[in-house]
Amino acid sequence: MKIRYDFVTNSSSTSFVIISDGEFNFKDFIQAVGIKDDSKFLDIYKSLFKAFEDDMEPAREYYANHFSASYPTFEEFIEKRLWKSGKEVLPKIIEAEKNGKSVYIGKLSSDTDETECFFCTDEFIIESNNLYIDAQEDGW
Amino acid sequence: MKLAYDFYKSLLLVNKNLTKEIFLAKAEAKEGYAQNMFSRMYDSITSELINLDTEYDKYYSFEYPTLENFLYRKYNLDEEDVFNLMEERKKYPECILYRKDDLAYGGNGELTTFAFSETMYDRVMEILMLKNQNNENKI
Repeated sequence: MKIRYDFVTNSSSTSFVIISDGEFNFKDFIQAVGIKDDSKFLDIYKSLFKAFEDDMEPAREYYANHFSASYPTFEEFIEKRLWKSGKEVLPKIIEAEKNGKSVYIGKLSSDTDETECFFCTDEFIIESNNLYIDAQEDGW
Repeated sequence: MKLAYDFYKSLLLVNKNLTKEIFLAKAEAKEGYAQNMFSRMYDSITSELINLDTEYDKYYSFEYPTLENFLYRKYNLDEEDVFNLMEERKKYPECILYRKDDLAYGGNGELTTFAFSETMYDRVMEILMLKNQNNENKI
């Protein structure tokens, strides 16, 4: 018999999809987020941008490297792995690829710092004319 | 100023003139996700606040001679915390003392936890207590 007598810790990760018309850059990101350049809270969105940048991989490479053994096609991977928004995101990805836009996938983690941990637990879409980020896959 | 007095229960000073519009304007979250996030943060902070000043006057002033005594005995706050809280109230007389359930907004309280995390605390409190506005008024 095993009895746990101390805190139980838990960690989580949230998948995200980034569709970018051109290079994924901070200026477009901040504009899409909707925070002013001189806001006292700009740094938390800088951290979010960095978290995206550090973990994102081109979507098809991400699938080939990590999930091709589990899902027979890229499309099935998107639809099933992104259980909450996959069906909604897939047509956007296909359309974006047709139009030569960049598509990336990655994960936010709750094991890094408190800012990324918060964003990992939040569900959100960041959207502008040339950027679409879906981080609704909150597995918290 | 926010003081925890039990698990996920806190005392909080908030300026009586604060509105969601002011909160968003001070955060400079003008649209999109930033506006949505700070809007939910405001809701999570202000959800189901109970005015402790009123509660004390109405129900407890007979039992406890002063608000300080009430906070010390009823909420088991440290003497030092009570002293600091009262000093902060003198400095910012437009602030009302509330008590709140940190989980009142729903979810696991992530937004409230983040709002009062080490990263955010000073900046969020500055807005909640409208500290700069008080200083501007004094000048």
